[in-house]
Amino acid sequence: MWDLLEHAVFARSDVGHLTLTHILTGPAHLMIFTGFALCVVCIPIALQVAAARTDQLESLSPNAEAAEELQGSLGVAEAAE
Amino acid sequence: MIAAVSGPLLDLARTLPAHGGGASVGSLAGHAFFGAGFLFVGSLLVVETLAGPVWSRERLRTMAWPAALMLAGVGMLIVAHLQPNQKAVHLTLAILLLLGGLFEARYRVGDISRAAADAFAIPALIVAGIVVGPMHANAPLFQSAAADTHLLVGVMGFVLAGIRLTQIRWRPTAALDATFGVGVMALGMSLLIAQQFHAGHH
Repeated sequence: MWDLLEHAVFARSDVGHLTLTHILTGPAHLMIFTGFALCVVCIPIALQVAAARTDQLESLSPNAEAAEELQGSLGVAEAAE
Repeated sequence: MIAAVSGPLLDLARTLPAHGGGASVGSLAGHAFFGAGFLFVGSLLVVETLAGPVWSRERLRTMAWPAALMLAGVGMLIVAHLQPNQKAVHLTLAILLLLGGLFEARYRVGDISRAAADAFAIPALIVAGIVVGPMHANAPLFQSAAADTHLLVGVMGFVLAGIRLTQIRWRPTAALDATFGVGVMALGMSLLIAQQFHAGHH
């Protein structure tokens, strides 16, 4: 949308003046490249998550494990008291 | 074969005339590359939270965030070397990014705790926010698009520090992890906006 707005509305007269540098460094183009790269990385991840068993998906956060450990140690301390 | 195909394509691309009387080159293009990088890695942080343990099956994926920070640090060193002015600002950011990557890497391999990593990350994000915002773009508010957009980037540093502080105040949750990822994406977007709305760029 950003790119379409730029080339079709804001800078219509400049469509014929595109350069390779502009294509490679334009924010809108980089957003599109980022989206493609993200698809390449994420589609296999999505397939792995879809194929995983429930017990393999229990912990949703890497930090949650640390929090559980902290809570566990606090629970032990409270029980000792 | 790739060379045979890409050669004529590159030659064709070079024949295209200039767009808008001057495309973004040099230091300004750096904003876009850093922006795209942070947008990408921020998205990966969100995906990491959503994928849970599946993400950490491969060490390469686990180390993506610290590696991205270090790569950004190296990129900032190159910017500091190439750009004739603002060398101190860029060097400061480079050192913060490299150290941030080191701390995050050590946390992810289990050498240090999240609290120890945050003890560096939070002050570093605040300092980076001040360096990118008020120090790097010292112009009156609403007088310069470049200064205003840099201030926006600086504010994103403060926002990320705030999210980390929230994670310390309340227990870390998947929602807060994802929020941090979204914050990094917003940092990337702010850098892309800095590129897009800088004077002279169309």
